[in-house]
Formats: sequence, C-alpha cells, structure tokens
Amino acid sequence: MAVRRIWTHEEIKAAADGNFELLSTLNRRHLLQGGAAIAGALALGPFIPGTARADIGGEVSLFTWEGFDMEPELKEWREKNGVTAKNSTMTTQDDVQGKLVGGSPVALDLTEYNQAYNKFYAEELGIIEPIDVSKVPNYNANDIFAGFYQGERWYWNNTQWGIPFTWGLNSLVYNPAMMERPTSYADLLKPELKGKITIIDDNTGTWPTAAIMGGVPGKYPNVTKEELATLWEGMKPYRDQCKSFAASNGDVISMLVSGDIAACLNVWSGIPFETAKQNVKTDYVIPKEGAVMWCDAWFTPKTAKNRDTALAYINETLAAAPQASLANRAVTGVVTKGAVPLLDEATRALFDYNDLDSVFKSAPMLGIPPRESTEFATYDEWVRAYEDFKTGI
Amino acid sequence: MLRAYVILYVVVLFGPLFFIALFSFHSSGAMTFPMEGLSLTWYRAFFADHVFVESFKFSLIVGFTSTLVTTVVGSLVAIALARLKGWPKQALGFLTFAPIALPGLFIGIALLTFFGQIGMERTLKTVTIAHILIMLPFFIEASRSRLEYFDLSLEEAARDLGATPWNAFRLVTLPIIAPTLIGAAILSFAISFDEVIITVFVSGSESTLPLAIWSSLRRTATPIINAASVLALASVLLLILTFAVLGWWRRRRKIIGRQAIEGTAT
Amino acid sequence: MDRQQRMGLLLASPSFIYSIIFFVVPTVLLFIYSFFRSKAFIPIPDFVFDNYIRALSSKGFWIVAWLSLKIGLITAVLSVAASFPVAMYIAYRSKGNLLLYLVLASWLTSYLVRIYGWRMILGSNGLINSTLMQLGLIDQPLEFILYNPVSVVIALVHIFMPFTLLLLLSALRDVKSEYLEAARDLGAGPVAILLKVIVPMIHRGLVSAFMFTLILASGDYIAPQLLGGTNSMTVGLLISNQFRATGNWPFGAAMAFIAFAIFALIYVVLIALLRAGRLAPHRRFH
Repeated sequence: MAVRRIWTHEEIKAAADGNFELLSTLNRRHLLQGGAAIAGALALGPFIPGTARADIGGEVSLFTWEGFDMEPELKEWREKNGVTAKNSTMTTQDDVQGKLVGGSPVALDLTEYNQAYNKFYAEELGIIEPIDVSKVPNYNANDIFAGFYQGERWYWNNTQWGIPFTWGLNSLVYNPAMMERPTSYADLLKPELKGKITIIDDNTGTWPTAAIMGGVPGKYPNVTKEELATLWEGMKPYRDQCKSFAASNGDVISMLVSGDIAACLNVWSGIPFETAKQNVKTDYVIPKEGAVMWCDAWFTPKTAKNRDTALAYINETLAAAPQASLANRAVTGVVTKGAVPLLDEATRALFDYNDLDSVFKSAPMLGIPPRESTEFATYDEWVRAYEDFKTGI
Repeated sequence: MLRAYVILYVVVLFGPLFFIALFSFHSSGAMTFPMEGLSLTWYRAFFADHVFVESFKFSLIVGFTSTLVTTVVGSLVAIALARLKGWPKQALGFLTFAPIALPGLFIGIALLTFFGQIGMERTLKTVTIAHILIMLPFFIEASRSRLEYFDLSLEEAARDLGATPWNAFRLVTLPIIAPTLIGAAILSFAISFDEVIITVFVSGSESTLPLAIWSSLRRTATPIINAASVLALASVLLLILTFAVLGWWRRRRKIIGRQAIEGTAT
Repeated sequence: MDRQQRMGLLLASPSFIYSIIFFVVPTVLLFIYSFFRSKAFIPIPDFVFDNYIRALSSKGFWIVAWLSLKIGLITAVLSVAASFPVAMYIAYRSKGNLLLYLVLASWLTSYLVRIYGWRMILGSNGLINSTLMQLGLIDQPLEFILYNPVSVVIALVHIFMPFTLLLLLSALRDVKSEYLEAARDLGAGPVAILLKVIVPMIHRGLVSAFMFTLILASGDYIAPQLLGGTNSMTVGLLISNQFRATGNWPFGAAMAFIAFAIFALIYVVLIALLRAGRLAPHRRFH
C-alpha cells in the first residue's frame, strides 16, 4: 500500500495558522517526509476540497478477547503506519458495555461485540458509531463470504454497525479415555458420569444450549416466562451431574487436563488443541440436537478518539494472511475467502467452507433475550432464572 | 510447643507457594503431577506476551504512585494519632479503617458509581485512587501501634533544646519511626500489586497484572501465570532487599561514625 | 484544644479529605442509588424500596447469602484460631520482626494464582491424591477434597491468615508484657491470663480481626467460582452480575447494603456475646 500524504482538518488548520508546533505534534511522522511536500500542502491544502481526508497513525486503544487483538499479525502494519496499540482484554461480553456505558466511559477506539448484542449496543445503549465502509475497503462482497457480508447482525437500516472478523461453533468437548463418544446431550446423563461434567458459565452460549437441552428448542431468544421455567427445570438432571460451573474456557481446559471432568457443554472448538498441548486427548463433537454459533464483530464506540486508525486496523485484520493466522492460532473460522487456502488442515476441517450456508442453517447465529418485553422472558428474568438454577432452587 | 506450632504455620503458609513457584519452571503446560522437567519456557513466554509486559508496567506505575501517596498521607495520620485525643481521634480511626471493613466489591461499585456521577474517565488514575483508599487502612494499621506509643516527650525535649519543629521531627521522630514506615509502605505496595476485585470495576483500557492474569486464565491456564506471580513476588522482594541494604548501610555508616568519634575521644 | 491536638488535626487533614471524597461520598451515593429504579444500565432517579423488597423476598438471595456467610464464618474462626498463637509468639516471645515480615511476604504471591495453586494440590491428579496413590494408601483419587465449600474455605483461610495475623498482632501490641508479668506475679495461670487479661483488653481488636476476615471471605466471589464446584454462587457474584451483566445498579446497590446490614448485625451480636461471657468489659478501661 503506497503511503499517500493525507491531511486532517486539524493539521490543515494548524498549517494555515502557521502553528508548526501543533502541526508537528499532530503528526510527527509526516514531517520527516520532506519540506517540499509540507510547503506544497501548506499552500494548497486549505483550498482543495476533498483533500481533508483523515490520516492514520498514533495510538489505538483496543479491548478484545485474549488473543483476538491480532497483535502479532498486525505488527508489521503497525510499524509501517506509525500506529501503536494499547491492548486490554475482556473477560465477558458484558465487560464491553461495562466500560462504555455510564458517566465514566473508557476511551476505547476499537472493540468487539458478539452477534447477539448487536441491537442492544446499537439501539438501546447507543454505544456504536456506524462504520464508514469506504474506509474498510477489504470488507467487500467479492472478498468476504456472503454469510458475513452485510448480514442482519451487522447491517441494518442501510447502516454498517459492526464488521465480523472471527467466528466458531461452541459445542461439546469430551475426553474419550473417560467416556464413550456422546451423540446426544442426553448421553451426559449416564449415572457413571455423575460429578464428571461441567457447564460453562457464559450467558450467550449456555442459555441457547440450555433452551435446546431443556426442551424448548428453536425458540431462543424469544421464550415465554412459562417456557423459561420449563427449560431450567429440564436442565436440573444435568446440574446434578455437574462437578462445577466452569468460569471460563481456561477453567474447562485445566479441569479436562487434570482429569476432574470427562466432558463440558457448549465450549470453544479450540479446547482439544489446547488439551493436546498438555498431553491430554479430547474431542469436539456436535450432538444431534445442534450447537451454538458465535461470531465476533469489530465496532468503534461513539467515544472513540482515533476512529480512522481503528477503521484502518479493522481493514487490515480482514486481509487474507492475518485472517488465516488468527484462525490457526485461536482455532476459529475466517470471514475472508482468500484466507481459506492459508489455513492449517485441522483448522480448515472445522467447518465446510464450500457450503457455509448449511453450517449456518444447522447452527444459526442467535440473539439475546429482550431487555423489555411483556410477551417473552426478559434478559433480567433469564439472569434470575439462571442464578436460581446455579443456586440449585 | 508454641515454637513447633509457629513453624507448622509458616510451612502451611509457604507450602502452596512453593508449588506455585515450582510449576513456573515446568517444561510442559500442564499444572498436574507428575512433573515432566524443568525449563524457563514460561518466563520467556511471559516476556514475549505484550499484554503481560504492558500490564506489568502499568501495575508498577500504579503500585509506586499509590505507595508514594499512601506513605505520605498515611504517615501523617499515624503521627497525628499520637497527638489526637477524644472524638477527633475516634473519627479518624473510623474513617481510615472503614474502607477495608467492607468487601472490596462494595468499594468497587461505590467508586464506579461516583466516577460515573462526576463524569471522570476511567484510567490508571481511577485505579490509583481506589488502591490508595484501601492501602491507607493497611498502612495505618501496620504502623499505628508503633507510632501511637511514640514518646512525644522526646520530640518536646528536642524542641526545649532549641530545635525547630521540623528539625525536631527530622532528627528525633523520623529515625525512630522510619523502619516501621518502610515496612508499612512495602505492605501497601504488595496490596496494590495484587488487587483485583476493586480494579475490575474502576480500570479503563489499561489492565493491571492481576487483571491480565485473570483474563489469561480464562483462555488457558498455563504456568505462565505462575511465572507472572513469581516475577511479581521477586520484584517486591527486590524492593525489600534494596531497602534492607540501604538501611544496613546507613546504620553501618553511623556506627563507623560513632566509633570514629569515640576513637578520637579516648 | 491544645497545640498537639491542633497539630494532629492538621496532619490528619489530607487523609480526612481523601476519605470523605473517595469513601464517604461514594458510599452515600451508592446508598441513594439503591432507592432508584433501573432500565438496562440506565438508573432512573426515584425513591422506591422495590430493590430491597425484591432481594429480601427472593429465596435464592437468602440461600446464597447463607452459603456466603457460612463460608465467611468458618474461614474467620479458623483464621483467628490459627493465627492467634502465632501473634502471641511474635508479640511476646520473638525478638525483632523477621517472622512477621516472613508471614507478610507470603502475601506477595498473586491471589488468583494461589487459588489455582490449590487446584494443583487438591485436584484428581493433584499433590495430595498422587502422593496418597503413590504410597498405596488409596487406589482411586479422593474426589471430595476439591470443588466444594471445604476447598473454598481451605483456600480462603490460606489467603487471609496473614491479614488476620497482622490485625491480631496490632491489637496485642496494646497489651504490654508488663501487664502479663503483673498478672503472673499475682498468681494467675496461663488460661486466666488469656481470658481475664488479654482477651478483655484486646476484645475490640479480636472482634475486628474476626469481622475483617469474615467480611473479606464472604464477599469473595472468585475462589468459590474456581473451587466451589456447583456451590459457586455467592452474594458477591449476585451483586457483581447486577453491575456488569444486567446493568441494574440500583438493585446491586440494595443487595450490597443488605449484606452490610447483616455484617453490622453480626458485629453487634459478637460484642454482646463477649460481654455476656465476661470476656469483654462493659466499659472501656484503657
């Protein structure tokens, strides 16, 4: 990518005012490119309409899941463009609104949302700034798989709210040395598995799985109050089989490795790779009742300070090489067609990239329960029912 | 018998810590027995991980800033306690103890609400403010008994002999209370360095080391967290050691000085 | 007001101001919030008791509160009992503070890593099980030692022991060894000295060390999540969920103040019990 000199409003204003000190602090990097360009731009900048395009550079503050910041993949790009990244890590999707809502927001330039949180973030909380797609040229119908281009989770009202960049299926992981290959969730109810399974404590994945297992499949996230009670009642036998409610994927991995559990519901597809590193073989299986799809999308918060650099960052994460590298590292799916040939065999085999439509059909991308509703159980009621389930009422 | 019990207590306290340190040198990623071999893999992994290194740096910044403020403010309180009587003393005692008489969570949500109300952006500054709040009570508690019984008449005597208040404090009070204050400061630093429950609520886009450990645990639990913990321990021990050596050196210099004076006198 | 008193107030003023701005004001604010209503992360100013009623009438809240409190009480009893003799030793037998520093140094290892450390020790392939199996004492790993409230208490006692010790020691420093000698000269035995001199003199410190450990342990929500098995719900987690997941800050605030009221009640009961048992004076004498 050829570096073209582009000026920001502030720079142009500073240059026109002859304020070189401000100009240099605004962009040190370009001052090194030679006096002639600066002199030319000084003279012409303010008079040419349309040249006032934003520049990239400076610090981008990222808030992502561990490893999803694509730090190693974008190292070269950052150095070339004078971008520094400040990374921090979320531990649940709820951390994101925790940082952005309220009178004490945190200055984040780039973060992500699970597809279920789309309308909640964009409309109810109003924390998403629509994306100017012209600044993310890699996000186009030719290069991106159809299922991830302008899908309903990221694009509505003619507005692009988020840009999907990684996805996967959360499903059942088990240890073949400790149990037979399960084909249905009900296989986990065998008496010999008592105290040998765990449920991961993650709302966006566990709730839809519970809806399937507890006997109201196909209804999530819109479940009536009666159905809500029914499904958690239906989950009770599973609770009795549980050793614990795992706090995270890491927790599940350590329990599988230590032999404390034989199986876990609804977890990350990368777990077998992680346990293999610690010499314990586990397998990933999709029971006949189905599994839960997740997809994470970038978005820039309303409060972002370095938005254009954040958008350029998004653009770069969609290039084939970084896409493949992230998927290989995190054992997830890619959204860019060109990345598929670059995937490890095992990572590629996770999903049928030739027929993604049927992947989406068997494991649809779900939303979350409504925050306010008279007809269906609300998010708040789900939290309460889930807390009661965990308490054992 | 009491002695044997004390030894048992220390062994029980340090036993688990020994295994944590041991596994930071494990050659494989498993945190289970039997161990497979020793290596520095996890220390290398720690330093190769930008999130860990950054958060280590942030923790040091917060730790040093908050310890500095706590030491100044806390020492003033501890000195004040020796001078105060009646209700001001009780009010001060209550106010400076209350923040740790409540669960950390409580302080976390109260501060979050407060920062939200006044529109203060969450950064390392808010983390530092929160840490000072819970470090102060520990600082005061750790130095209180020593300072409260500090004999004010010593200082009075110095003043009667013509010393200015500042000189009386500097030459008489400070040398006596300094070791206690340093101990309390190190304790405060350790609290800041390990705080996680409050920090979760008041931190912005910068993670402290415990937060980085927490999120790394959520991905995969590898001995990298043990390495992080050992490094944190080592950095604090280094701090203690530095102070110990400085103290020893100063005392030695004094003794030599005194011997020199005595030498000339005899 | 004499010169010393004025000087004292001046010296204490930075701390007074700091505590008022960052502790008293936020706490009052949180209390006000507990009477607000809420709509997904947006607190709506109001004056209603709905949040308190909702918590107090929820069966789940009481079950979880009792479990948290039980963990806290057992942890506090064990921590005080385990640390008291050591505090006595440091206060009256040892010279210098080396032992104290050693104990406090244990504090410097990460709290989170320590919790994971206990998994390494108590787990199915952990230290205890693999040792016992190697010795041939058992042929199946003991399953009951991890993922239940017992392992939570073990870890919490281990984490809070140094805190408790520091507070007990701070209280014992008020009881000068001359008092103990005087009591001994008057013919009191060790038990009498403990119950008639030491405990009454430090009853406040004793209660505060106990309460302190109780509050920290029952407010902890990370150890129960990682070690508690299916008993992982705690009041801390319930409150935290309201602040981080559902965004109902007023409800979370109300639960926090209910927890606070329970702690205050326990404190009052404890002091009353000590007085009834004649282990605390009815009036302060020092």
